[in-house]
This record gives sequence, structure tokens and C-alpha cells, in this order.
Amino acid sequence: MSSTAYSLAKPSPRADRLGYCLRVIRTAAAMEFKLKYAGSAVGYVWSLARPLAYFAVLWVVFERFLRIPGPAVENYPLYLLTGLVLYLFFIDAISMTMMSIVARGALLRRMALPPLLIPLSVSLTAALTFCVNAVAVVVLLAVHRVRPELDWLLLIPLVGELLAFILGIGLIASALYVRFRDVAQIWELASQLLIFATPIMYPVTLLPPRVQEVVFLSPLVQVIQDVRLLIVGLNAETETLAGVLGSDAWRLVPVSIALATLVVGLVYFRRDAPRLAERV
Amino acid sequence: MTSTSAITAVDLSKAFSIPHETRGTLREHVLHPLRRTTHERNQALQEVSFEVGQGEFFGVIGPNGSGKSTLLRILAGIYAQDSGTVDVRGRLSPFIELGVGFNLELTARDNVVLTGTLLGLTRQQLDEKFDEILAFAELERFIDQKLNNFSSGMLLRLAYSIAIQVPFDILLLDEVLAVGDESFQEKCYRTLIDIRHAGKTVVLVSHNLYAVARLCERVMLLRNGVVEALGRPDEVIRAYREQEGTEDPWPAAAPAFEETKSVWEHVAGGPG
Ligand SMILES: Nc1ncnc2c1ncn2[C@@H]1O[C@H](COP(=O)(O)OP(=O)(O)OP(=O)(O)O)[C@@H](O)[C@H]1O
Ligand SMILES: [Mg+2]
Repeated sequence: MSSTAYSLAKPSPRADRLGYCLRVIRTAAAMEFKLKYAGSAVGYVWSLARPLAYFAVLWVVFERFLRIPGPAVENYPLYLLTGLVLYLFFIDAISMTMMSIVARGALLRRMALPPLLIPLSVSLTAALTFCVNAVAVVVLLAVHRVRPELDWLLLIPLVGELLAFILGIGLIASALYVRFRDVAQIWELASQLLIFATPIMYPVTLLPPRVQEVVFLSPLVQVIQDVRLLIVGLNAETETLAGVLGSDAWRLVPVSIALATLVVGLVYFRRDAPRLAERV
Repeated sequence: MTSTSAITAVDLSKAFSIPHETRGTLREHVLHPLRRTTHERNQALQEVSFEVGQGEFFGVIGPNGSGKSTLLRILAGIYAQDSGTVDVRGRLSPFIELGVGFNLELTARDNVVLTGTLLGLTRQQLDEKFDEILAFAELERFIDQKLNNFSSGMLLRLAYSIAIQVPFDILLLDEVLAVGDESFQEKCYRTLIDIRHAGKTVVLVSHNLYAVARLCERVMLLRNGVVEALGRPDEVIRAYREQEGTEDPWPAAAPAFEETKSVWEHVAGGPG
């Protein structure tokens, strides 16, 4: 029995609104990106510092000392860096999105802004950061004189799938974080575990076969392995989803999980959206 | 009046729940799903009804915590009411306080772009109006400074200058006249008068009773979320001051402003 009616004297409110939303997402993401890098070249270098530091440590420890990848992995530096850059995209984008609503509580309380625009623009910033970090992979590819091939275009839907998964989790986490502040600690812990649970620094074949089958249902693992298959080269028989689970059709499972997560995230966020401003 | 009203609010109620633990955690929630956290209800608004006519300048006053900001946020669609209806005819300004969207780490230039976009201006409109915004704020020299280095009055000037560029029919303003210096306040008053001239509707929440008396045609007094009085500014303000036991803090200054006591006296169609 409560309602709010707005009659807008606009020619085409719907198209107007979509245009407005896109402008806000783009401008806010660009400004956020600018802030992060303070408009300086040093800023970009700093963004690369994290993946490169991880890379250096893990490379030395795993390849030089432990010799874990062994002959199973042909080009370990490239294998490792690809995995790391995707993993950090996943972790950082979700962390940033999770904090986004609470961080902009003051704005939400003073402006009639569709709350959804906030996590969307923040994920876009994270995607831009990912593109900067991907430059490191490109450099390494160039060093190894890897030639780009036409099927590299498949990287686009793969990154899209990962982004959908990220957005889905990020939307749920951002709405939950408004009410439960320990969501941040839980995510912190999960992301620490994830770097070991995901074949980032070691080859998938190191895991027991049963575990491999389960691990491949994760969109993160599937995307990382498919990207590696395209640009690093893997043993398709033993190291990709199709090889491990027996058929390419299995790929539908992680892809569906990613898309379903996005849908659930959108629904959950929309359900909470009217109360977000007063709860932050 | 119904046919020409810009805002019609009927029986608006809003309660906030105050959880008794400082912050709920997901851990608590999962480990003790059945234990209900005890909530205390804080009735911020109780069956508030009023109408604002098209082109009217409407004031809302009341003590701290009486529900003024909550009311404005419900009108703007920022908070959802528990019950009651709001009917808004016309484009609402999307902000209720000035300076929303400002990021102190960014330059004034970037902030004009960011805030302008948030408020609904297109890139093209921003380009066209950029110089005008800065000229009105008289801040051209500081365009590439970070807002960090701005004084609060400078921030207000910039915010106000952007805000008045936004196309709207109804303007909701929460305590916006607080920090500008006198010359800028005067400028604000003048634009508010222009806004009124242009047939726009304004709802102004303020503790500056002098400004309210000067600008508003009707004033609503809220206390504990209930409408206690609604009517002519001088009467409502007098009633409010009597209840509070306060007086005009600058009675001696008043005569000097006598001629501008009500700005509507020079406005065609204003109340007599
Ligand atoms: N998001 C919120 N969550 C919980 N309580 C709230 C929230 N917003 C407002 N309140 C409560 O509602 C009541 C009314 O607050 P409101 O901000 O509307 O007062 P106000 O009239 O604007 O006061 P002021 O003159 O100080 O600005 C207060 O008791 C406040 O604590
Ligand atoms: Mg207030």
C-alpha cells in the first residue's frame, strides 16, 4: 500500500535512461582509473608491480627450487604469468566491487542514483586494470616470439565469461557487505585459499583425477586453462576441460555456472537495491 | 489544487530499525539462524501528508532529527517509505545536497565532468556549459587544482554552479545555504528567485529561518516525524520559535533587511 509515482516529462525516458546509465558507468570508471594511477606513468608501473612480484617469487620458488612444473609445462614463465594475471583480475575485481556500495554510501544517500551503476562502473575499472596487467603477458609473448593467431579472438568470449562470473559474485558480495561486514574477511580468506586450489602455479595434472574433474567445473579454472591452451599451449588430452572430463560438451557446465551466477547476482542486488541507501 | 500540484504526499510513514548489536555479521547469521537480533523501531516519519503546488517555494523546518532529510530522500526515491504514497509530477532534480559526487582527490575540472554526468548532463552539454559553470562559481583560476585544496565555501560555489545547470522541474534542497560567503549566498538567492520565475517548484529544508522566511511561500514544521504546522512562513516560524524558546538571534539586524523581507513582493504572481 505504498507507492511512488513519477511522471516524467521527457520525450523517451527509457532511451534517455539507458544513455544516462552508460554515461555514468563510463565516466565514473574512467575517473576511478585516473585516480588509481594519479595520471602518471609511475602509476601504471605500480599496477604491474603486484602481478610481477607474485610472478617473480613463484617462478623462483617453483621452477628453480622445487622444480614442480617439470617437463609437464613447456613454457613455465608464460604459463604462470597468464594464470596469475587472470587470478588477480578475479580477486581484485571482486574485492573492489564488494566494497563499492559501502564506499559510496554518502553518494547513495544524497542522490537518486540507480545503485547498480556503482558496482558496474567499479567492475569496469577493474577490467581496465586487467587490460594494463595483460600488457605484461603480451611482452612475455613477444619475448618468446609467439605469433598471434586467429583463434586468439576466442579470448574475448573467455574474458567475457570470467567478467560475468566476477560481476555475479561481486553484486552479491557488495549487497551482503552492506549488512555483514565480515563478508570482507571471508572473501580475503577465500582468495588466499583459491590461489592454491586453482592450478595457477602448478599444472592441473598434479591434482588427483577426481579432484581435477571437480576443479574444472569452476569457471575460473576453465577460463584460465582455455586461455593457456590458446596462447601458451597445453597438452589438450590431460590439461583442458575437454580432455579431463571426456567431452567438449562439459564446457557448458562452467559457462552456465558463470552466467547463472550473474543472473542470481543481478536478481539479488535488485531485490536489495531500494534499501541499500538507508543501510550503508 | 490537485490538478496543479507538483508533489502530493499522502500518509507517508517511515521507521528505521536500530539493531542492538553494533553490526550484524554473516557468521552470527549462519551460526544462529534462529536467534533474532532485537530491533528497536525508530519512527522517523508518521503519516505525513502535504501537497506542493506547481511553481511553489515550499519550506520544511524542524529540530534536528525530526525527519526532514528522511522526507526529502523519500520524495527523491532514495529511501523507500514503509507506507503512504508519493506522486511527483515533473522532472526531479537528482540530488538533494550540493557537492554529491565530488571526489576530493580529483581536480575541479574532472569533478565538473563527473558530477555533471551524475546529475544527467551529456558530454556535449558539459562542453557547452563548462565555462559558464566556472564563471558563475568564480573559480576559473583553480580549475586544475585538486578539490582537496578548496575551502568549504569554494566547494559549495562549484557544487551550486553545476547543480543549477541540471534540467529539472522540481528542486529538492537539503541545507544548501550553509557555508557560502554573503556575496555568494546573495547570488544563490537570486538564482533561486530566477528558478521560481521560470515556474519551477522548490522544496527547501533549512535551519536558516531567515532564508526560509525570505524565500518560501508556505512552510511545514516537522517534529518527531509528525507535521505540526503548515502554513504562512511568519506564522509557522513564530510558532516554532515559541516552542523552542528561541528568538531571532539577530533581531537588531532585521530592520536593515526590511525591504527584502519577502522576495516575492517583487515577483509577479507571488503571494501578497
Ligand atoms: N539510514 C538511517 N538509518 C537509521 N536511522 C536513520 C537513518 N536516516 C535517518 N535516521 C533516523 O531518522 C530520524 C530522522 O533523521 P533525519 O536525518 O531525517 O533528521 P533531520 O530532520 O534531517 O535532522 P537535521 O536537522 O539534523 O538534519 C533520526 O532519528 C535519525 O537517527
Ligand atoms: Mg537533515
